Amino acid sequence: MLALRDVSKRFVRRLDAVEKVARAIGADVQEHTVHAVDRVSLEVAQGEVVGLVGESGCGKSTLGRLACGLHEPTEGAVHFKGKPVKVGPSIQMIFQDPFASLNPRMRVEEIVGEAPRVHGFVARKELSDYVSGILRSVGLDPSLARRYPHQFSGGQRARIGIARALAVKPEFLVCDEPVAALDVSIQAQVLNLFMALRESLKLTYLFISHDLGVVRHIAGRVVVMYLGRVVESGPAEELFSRPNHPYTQALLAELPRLERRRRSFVPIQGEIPSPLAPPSGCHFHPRCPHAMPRCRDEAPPLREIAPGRTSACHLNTIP
Amino acid sequence: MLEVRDLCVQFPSRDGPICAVNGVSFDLGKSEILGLVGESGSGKSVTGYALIGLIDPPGRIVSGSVRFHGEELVGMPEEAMRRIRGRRIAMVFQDPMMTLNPVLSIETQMVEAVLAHQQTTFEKAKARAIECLQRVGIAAPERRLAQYPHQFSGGMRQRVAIAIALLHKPDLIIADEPTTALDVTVQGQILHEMQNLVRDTGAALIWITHDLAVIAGLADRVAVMYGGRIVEEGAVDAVLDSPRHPYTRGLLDSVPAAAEPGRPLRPIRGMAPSAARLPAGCAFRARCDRADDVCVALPELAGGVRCHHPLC
Amino acid sequence: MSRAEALELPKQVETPFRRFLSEFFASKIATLGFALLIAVVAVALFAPFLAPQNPYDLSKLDLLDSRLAPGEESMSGKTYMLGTDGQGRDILSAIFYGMRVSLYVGVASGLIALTLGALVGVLAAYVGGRFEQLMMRVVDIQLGFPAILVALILLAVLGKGVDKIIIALVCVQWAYYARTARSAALVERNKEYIEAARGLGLSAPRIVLRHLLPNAMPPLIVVGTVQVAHAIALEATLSFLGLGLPPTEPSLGLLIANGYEYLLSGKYWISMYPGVALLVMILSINLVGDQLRDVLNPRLARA
Repeated sequence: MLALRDVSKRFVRRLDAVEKVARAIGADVQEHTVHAVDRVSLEVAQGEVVGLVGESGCGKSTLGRLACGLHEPTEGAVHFKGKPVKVGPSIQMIFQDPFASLNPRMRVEEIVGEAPRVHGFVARKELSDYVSGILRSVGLDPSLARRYPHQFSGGQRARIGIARALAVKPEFLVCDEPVAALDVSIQAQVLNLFMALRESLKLTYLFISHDLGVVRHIAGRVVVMYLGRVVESGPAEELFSRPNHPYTQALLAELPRLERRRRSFVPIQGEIPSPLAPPSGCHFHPRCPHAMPRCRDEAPPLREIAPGRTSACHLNTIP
Repeated sequence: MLEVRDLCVQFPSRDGPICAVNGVSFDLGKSEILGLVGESGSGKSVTGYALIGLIDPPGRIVSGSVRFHGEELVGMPEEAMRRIRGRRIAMVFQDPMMTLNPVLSIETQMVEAVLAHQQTTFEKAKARAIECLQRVGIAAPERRLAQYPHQFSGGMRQRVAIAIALLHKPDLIIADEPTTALDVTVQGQILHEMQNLVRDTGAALIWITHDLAVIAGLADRVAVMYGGRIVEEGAVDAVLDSPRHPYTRGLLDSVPAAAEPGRPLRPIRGMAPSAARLPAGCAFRARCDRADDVCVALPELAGGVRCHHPLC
Repeated sequence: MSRAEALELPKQVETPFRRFLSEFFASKIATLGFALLIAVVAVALFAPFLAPQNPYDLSKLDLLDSRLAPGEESMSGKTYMLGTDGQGRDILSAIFYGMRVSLYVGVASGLIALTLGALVGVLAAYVGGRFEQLMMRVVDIQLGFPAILVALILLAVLGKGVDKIIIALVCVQWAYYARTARSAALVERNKEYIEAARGLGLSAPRIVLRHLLPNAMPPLIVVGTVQVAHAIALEATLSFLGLGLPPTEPSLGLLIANGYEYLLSGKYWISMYPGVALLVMILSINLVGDQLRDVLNPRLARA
């Protein structure tokens, strides 16, 4: 349903007039390029829930925005149902920050009802009923529709954001860390809501999160990113129980789990490099316990190591 | 080493005083790690701030006692509190920029912190700073001393903040969600350093968080807070394996790992009450399946749990 | 939603406006300033009814009444509370009418400049790129010139008249609003609700007018109140220098100018009382503007 092919996105901070002059007279001033997403190919089939995980700087948020058309790729192409993706009702995004993602000066009924009305889905006189129906479907009391966002709790605002997206009858939802800012008990309620909606509305999700526990629970297939590249992907259960790529292994080893009591944390070395200056070859090589000289020179391609599983690591090529 | 009894902290508001912390009591000994767990509004952070005397007016500690090595901290004059703060009790905040000044170099800040409590030379203070930076796992500390906070990543900044907390070898460290905003791998590194620290220096650690999994791996004991009170406490294994309070049970059931992938989770219904509108009696009763008329009366903390109908 | 949740929410719809009102009047000084401002506006609006005399109706003037001190009785038996000026006009009435003109000029130029500046600033922030660079350079150049100088030159070219002075004031002020609007809009533009609006397929004009502009307004309102006070003061200066307003419709500034020649001969009231009135007017606007700024600012951070 959604296909990204060899998509790259680079953000370049161009030099302004003063800096251009400085460079001309010999100062060491560079253009900064952030390789947010680097030659990523990804496909999501209809009805799937694909989880996209990674830490800060891995490019998952940017990839999410590329997927729904909010950013244009620098290279490569994004297709939705066979046609190039454009911003529109069929593919909607759910945002992370429940405070900043709602217009503070609009009432909830306007927030949810604006787009359907403007696009002509719903006639003006049916709008109020339509909005009430949507609010009910996300677990909110329709009598609150005339209130403003600041009068709701974080969990309720998350639901309003979902209602806004559902109001335009999307087929595909890109969820960018939708539960990250919520308390654990509210998070559970909202996750259940996502799963129920998927069933009832036959939605497809690209679920972006840094929280592996959440992704494991909701996703069927998982894609792991590091510094702009996909390093591993596969069915959720398999990937979590038998991770192949050293980064995935380290990530899972580091993850605190309820069952592991008074354990000794053995962290991986080093810091996540800055996306402005990623390491050469395999981006993970400075921190990888199995690094070889080849890893510094050559970026490993993403290859299939088993049906439905891919990984980008030179270790897989050693017989 | 630390004895807290019936601590109450209030903040005035337009609708009357809000009791953010409402009768919290616990003990802590040397080299112990206590996890203080709760969601937003539970009062866990305010408890931490109260212990170190950082409740700013118009908020105040209205009653209760905090005895540190036998000395009463509540009501202590600010001068005396300042001598304890930073030297014998240290705090690490969620945002390291609450500790670090963006316009001063790390060297300036750390040396200043040393000299604030100790009469010593610049050279000796600097040496101590380098020692502490090494202890928290910062490579090439001499070079990094000359740098400014913006030249460090988020995880490194937090380590520097921890290093500053360690400068005077405190007996008690209070950590308020220090790794919540950090990536998993960085969190692992910091937890590793904290464990080493506690083991090597004998300091006690209070780790405030909403993440039960971190507590599981790090802490010896855990206290669960709800509505400004401790509702359950005990050894980590006991509380996590057989929780007795319905809220703890609910929290454990809400974690995604608790259910099979793809199956609905069993969350606690409703929302946590805001501190301004706490129901009388047991604060959890509006959301509890086991609640009945008895629960209108506040249950006492007995045997580590505050509930009229504890599980098992 | 459970009963517990329903109990949490406030009983009436608390619009942002209602919350704003309660916070605004929490300060006594601001309430005083607001009361003064209401008084000033009332006087200005109802001047023809309140003033004992219409000072610009030449048929009612009596030269024999000129230069009377405050409270002094004239030969025809009338008592002028604040005295009269060189032509026999009642100072109190002149002040009332003068406030009218001052306020009208200040508010009208402020509103027009705000609309113009806000549109330019918000559009620049949304569109970005070369357009934004160009607009901001124009704004910078405009702001580089002292306001009085620009106004002087414009009025020298345009001549006298209430509308001419409003045009001059708008030209001087719009850039300040544009810059403030652009900063506010830049902050809002990066917020997720704007991205969401784009994602929903809403058109750019709709996003700018319905989403961006309302949220960029608070700092503009604050700037606006202070700027109105500025505009009034600027106009007073220009009138004092003899530009802009005709003597038949004097503002407070022109009244002060008219009384200037009499100051040294002891007839202070002709200049002083209009001066006090001007002071009170500007003070009340500033007090209200200060409180507005305080109320709107932390709320921006909270909301």
